[in-house]
Amino acid sequence: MRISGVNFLVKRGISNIKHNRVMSLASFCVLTVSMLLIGFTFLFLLNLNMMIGDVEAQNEVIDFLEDNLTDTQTEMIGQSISSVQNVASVTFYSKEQGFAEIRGRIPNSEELFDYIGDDSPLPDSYRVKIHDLSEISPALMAINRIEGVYQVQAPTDFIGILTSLRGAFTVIAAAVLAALLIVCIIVVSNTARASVDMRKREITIMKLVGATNEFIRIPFFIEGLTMGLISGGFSAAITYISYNAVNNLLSHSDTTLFTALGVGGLIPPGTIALPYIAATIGGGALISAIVTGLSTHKYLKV
Amino acid sequence: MVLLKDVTVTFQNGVTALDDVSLTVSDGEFAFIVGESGAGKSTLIRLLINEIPPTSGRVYVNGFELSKLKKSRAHKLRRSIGYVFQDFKLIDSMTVYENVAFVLRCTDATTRTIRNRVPDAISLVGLKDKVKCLPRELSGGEQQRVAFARAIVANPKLIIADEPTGNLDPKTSLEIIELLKGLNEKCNTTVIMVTHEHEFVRAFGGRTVTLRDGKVVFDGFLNPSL
Repeated sequence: MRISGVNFLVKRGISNIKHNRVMSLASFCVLTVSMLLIGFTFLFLLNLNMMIGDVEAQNEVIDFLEDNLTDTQTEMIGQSISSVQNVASVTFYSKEQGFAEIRGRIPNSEELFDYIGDDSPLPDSYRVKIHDLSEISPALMAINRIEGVYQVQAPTDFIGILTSLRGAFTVIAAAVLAALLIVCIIVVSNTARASVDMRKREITIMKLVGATNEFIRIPFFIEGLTMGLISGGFSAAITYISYNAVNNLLSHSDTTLFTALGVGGLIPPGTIALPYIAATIGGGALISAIVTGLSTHKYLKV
Repeated sequence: MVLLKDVTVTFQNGVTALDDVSLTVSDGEFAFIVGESGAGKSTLIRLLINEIPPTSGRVYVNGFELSKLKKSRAHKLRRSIGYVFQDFKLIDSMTVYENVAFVLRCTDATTRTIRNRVPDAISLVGLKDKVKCLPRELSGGEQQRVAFARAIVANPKLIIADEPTGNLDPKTSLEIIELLKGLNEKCNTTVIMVTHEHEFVRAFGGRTVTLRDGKVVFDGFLNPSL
């Protein structure tokens, strides 16, 4: 096709938006609301997933060491633990550090600690963080086998709950997003079909004077693409502004919700802005263009 | 050339709209197809533009055998035909110029071709001053003239006019038929004009095919009374 032909089809697609103002406005509203719904749900699920990750990251395995180990032996044990598969980090805690930590955690218990005295009853320990909590058991068994490790303490029940929670969350999040996407595609598709339906006479005339299906469909595709770009950009802007406002509100409180939950906070808006905006505009444009283009199908059988 | 050989069209509801019709319209001929409502005129047109297939028989239009023509190739046939319809069938969102140019754009014509041919076609129908108007801003007669300009702009071998005067006053109707006659005489374009207005047929005369209940009951020449 000649450049002048392509130029005509693009101009025709864009001018269709102007000529069909009412349906264009309806399509814009439906697309924007759909994208906002998907966008907000996606960001909520993304942050929830990250928060579960934060809670997971705080869980440590404590490896108590046997008494009377030399510094060299203690260091060797630390290296052995580091070399175990799935171990993320290893931090040494002396018996004094461990005892001070317990004292700090139990307030108003001076009498109890006076009775125990200043000497720590706890052994030296290593605090170990695990990469993948769902695969913690083999790591625990390997650490247990290291000579000089007296006992391994791990919150396996809690880790089990977290692992199940993350698994269930992944399935639910995927299902919710898939359902939303399907609903949005159906709604957008119906709006596009209604818009095309109003122009079935025009399509029939075009067919009768010798236009090919592609020649008729391309302006509809361009129209859908343009509507998708505009709606995608608009919904991305609204989502970004709202997300930024929520993030500022929650992170500038004196006692933040995140501190109470023991999580780091929302994903910073700057980190997700570019991919999110690109995905919203691109996704919106693509869905709208394909759905609008396909809606012409039944009228092309002339 | 248009050739129908033993063509029957029976719809799903059992109604036979065309019954064993054989008809030839040679290149350069002007033929009136006349008949009352329900005689089969519209079915004949729908057949010729490949909108419906024949139930039996063969249809040839401009070298295309329609029973063998795939839907995806129908545009090639349609580009060789110019149409003038009773309801004009103009695209409401396009100006006069764009409506006429659209036919050429479909064929991927060059910008130069479009710029040369479209004003000529519009001038021929006397609407040079209305190129930027939308169809709704024109009278019925003017809209039919735009449809006529659209029909001729690509120099088709055949023009099919389906009740082109049905919505027009007698004076404008005469002008439209004269335009068709003129095109037929000057450019040797084959014209098939379907009408139920016998007075125009009698006035202009020429080849006349009369349909009744789906059958050809008369095929001959009438002398003009004008």
